Amino acid sequence: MELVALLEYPTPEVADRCGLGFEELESRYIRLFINDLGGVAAPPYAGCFLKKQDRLEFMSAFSGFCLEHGIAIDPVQPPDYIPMMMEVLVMHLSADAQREDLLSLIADYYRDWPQGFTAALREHDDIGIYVAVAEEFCQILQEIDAQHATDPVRSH
Amino acid sequence: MSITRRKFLKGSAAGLGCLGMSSVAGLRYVSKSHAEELAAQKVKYVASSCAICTNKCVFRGQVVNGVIKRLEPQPEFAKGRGMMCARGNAGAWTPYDPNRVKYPMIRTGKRGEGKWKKATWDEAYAYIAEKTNKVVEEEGGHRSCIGFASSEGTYHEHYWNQFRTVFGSPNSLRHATLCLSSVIRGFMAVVGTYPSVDIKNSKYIILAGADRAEAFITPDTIDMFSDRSKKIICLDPRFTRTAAKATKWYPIKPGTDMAFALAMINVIIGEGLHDKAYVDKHAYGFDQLAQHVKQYTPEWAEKETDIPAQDIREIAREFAKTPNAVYYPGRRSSWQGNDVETRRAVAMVNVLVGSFDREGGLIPSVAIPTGKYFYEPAWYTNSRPRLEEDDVTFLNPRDGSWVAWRERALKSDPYAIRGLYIYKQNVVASLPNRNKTMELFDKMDIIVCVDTFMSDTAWHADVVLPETNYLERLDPPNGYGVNGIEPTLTIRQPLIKPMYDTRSGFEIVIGLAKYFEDEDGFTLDEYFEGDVESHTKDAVAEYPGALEMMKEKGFFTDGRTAPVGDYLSGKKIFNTPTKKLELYSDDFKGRGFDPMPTYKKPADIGANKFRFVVGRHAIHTQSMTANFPELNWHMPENTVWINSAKAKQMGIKSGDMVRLKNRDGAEVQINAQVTEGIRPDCVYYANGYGSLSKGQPLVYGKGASQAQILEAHFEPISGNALMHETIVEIRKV
Repeated sequence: MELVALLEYPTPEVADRCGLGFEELESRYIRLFINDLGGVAAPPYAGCFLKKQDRLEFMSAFSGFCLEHGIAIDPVQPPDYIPMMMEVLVMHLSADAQREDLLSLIADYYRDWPQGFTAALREHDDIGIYVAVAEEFCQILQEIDAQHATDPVRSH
Repeated sequence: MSITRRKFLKGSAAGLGCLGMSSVAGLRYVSKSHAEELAAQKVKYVASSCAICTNKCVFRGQVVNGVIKRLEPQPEFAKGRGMMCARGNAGAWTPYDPNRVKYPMIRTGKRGEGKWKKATWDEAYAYIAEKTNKVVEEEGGHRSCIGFASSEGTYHEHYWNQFRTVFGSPNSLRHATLCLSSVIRGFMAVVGTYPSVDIKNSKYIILAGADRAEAFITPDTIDMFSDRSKKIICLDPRFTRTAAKATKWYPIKPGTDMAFALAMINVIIGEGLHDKAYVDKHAYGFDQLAQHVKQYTPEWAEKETDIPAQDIREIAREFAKTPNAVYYPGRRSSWQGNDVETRRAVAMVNVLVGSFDREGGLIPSVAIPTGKYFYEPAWYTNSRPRLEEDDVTFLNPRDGSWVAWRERALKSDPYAIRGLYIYKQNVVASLPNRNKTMELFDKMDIIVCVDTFMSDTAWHADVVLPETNYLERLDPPNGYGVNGIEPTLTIRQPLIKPMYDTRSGFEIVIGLAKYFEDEDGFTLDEYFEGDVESHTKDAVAEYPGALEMMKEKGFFTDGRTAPVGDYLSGKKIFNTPTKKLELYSDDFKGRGFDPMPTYKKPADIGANKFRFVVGRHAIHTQSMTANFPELNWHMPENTVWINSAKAKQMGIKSGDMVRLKNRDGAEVQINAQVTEGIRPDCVYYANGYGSLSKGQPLVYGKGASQAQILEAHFEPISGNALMHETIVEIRKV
């Protein structure tokens, strides 16, 4: 949940923790995620980092998954908004999902894009906060995989 | 600075906030509520209408799991013929584009630097109002110091116009004088209206510069090119897709279309091929015209146009002898300084063969009248006329004349303009001579831009206000299509809820209006009543079942069609000063213009120079869609068309980087495309590229901008910008 919070629009508290002025952090956040010099550098939408799948299909499928599992996602964001996808994972974990369901969820919706998102941040996040968040998320996914897989992890 | 992951992530989550709607504390975006309700909408269809071009085709949007999957032709919309063009289809992607403007943004760095902060709507409005009120006070209370620009297509533009009028500025600028003002004026002067064309029933069509196979892909396009019995003559300096599908293409010399039309008239009258009964009964000025055109022989026209005299003669004869022939008016922007007169000549060709108000010809458009949207005007004691009032004879007060107005604004003549409020129009990419537009921007104290993407204009604004996407909102009824023969009303309905923190045009205007007052101290939002839902109902209140039909199908039609023959039968009166079709205009003469189209030879462009011509192409709607990924991949960059013989002389091959420079010294660099498909004295490249906005990454710095190379000229009758008066030199880089 802290990862989600750190990907949100920055606050003065977060700027303090980074040792940056708030406006400076704000400007960098906008550059990375909202509207940017050179185009949005690291769009916070999972579908933008997929190589083999159409983003509209991905969003529709992920949204369908959520509906089937009784999860309502906020229509104010596209379904593949990364902080929202993180929350879906949290909700699924907290609901004590079956191992197969959890692995299937990760394989279908959390396999292809986290590395791409992280790589974009490595290239453009000169402060390091956001790449830290992305790397942590990748680490969490690996830990979930390792914790729940008794068979080799399925590749998507 | 770098921070280790673990070091940074150790820290309290206090103050990070949450929605608190879920069984898991702290979730902001997900919950378990309403899941059943959402599940019931697994697949839904919503009827609406497109916004990608001015035709506004009706579609049925398929939404799966709350995500727009596709936009398909509305099967019940007969006029659509089951068609939705590629551009329209690409619209499905647009709400989800990561480069969309998502929140109100206030500039924090220099204009164009790209430094912004996210603002709330109230913060943005307060910022705008503070800056605006300050400059208005400095200008002695004159709200005319704020210019308002807007563009059609969203069906909310009239709310922007309402705000402008209750705010108290006369300075309104729309895209019309970058587009078809001169066409409208030319046809109005002869037939009293800007008519539609009965393409379905026409057997012989002359298309001069009207690139109907690329500009608007509509059922008319299908009618035009699928019927092999139709003869289509295409006049264009370029071999466009329209030229490729025409019966015959002539690479006419730019600026000589009037010569072609006058020579046609010379043949038609000279050989007695005109519709004598029609002309005798309905036209005014035939004798004067007959005398006037004797000098304009096909042999003379051949020297001007580069079209063989014998072909001009044959075309004139065929045109006159074929029932249901039409010389298509077109919609595109002015070419050269004599544009209004050229269009008059084209209209006269139609009149001489009896093509107006007849099947297969020019049909006065009709519309389904909607309930008038009425609002109380605001009164201000400190009012001034608009800037360029004296520069254009037939100046439309809502459209203005962009090039003329900008010239005045740059000189602060007769008064200063201190701010720009821009709705949807991409001024920086649309106006000829981009350097002058940037110079104008530099003079402004406040620039507000309402848009859905970071266009070049938005990028250089002080405040950007994000409008909802057309797939996210309700738009009140509007007339469908470029063809007004079978009138239809369409609406737009939301396929999904608005995303991010965006608002509709109406909501933006109401919010902004609250921050301004009239002279009596009433806030301007008091001038607005109702909402879009009530306006939609009121617009069609007199048609039982219309609202229900539009909500279900996206359109309403009551079966009416443009009556053919009402003017010829005397049931209606021609809307001209003489109440006749005018082949001679006393009105024009009285105003100091030629009473009949009188040819003026275009100036020689000089050796080793080229005339830059503009034109449409199939893939994009001007600059609006150039950054859509779904379309951009077809044409990631524009290239300049250079005739192969000329290119060979200059040692230029396709793919070479070349530099174009116009007479003002403005330059662009662009890759060359060597082709047989353009006249040796012309060059062309597509609009929409060479963006200055880094928020349009697909076209930022890719290719070249038309606005940058076009010289700024306008003609004084309609105020239209002249798009073919740019002369360039080319050098290989």
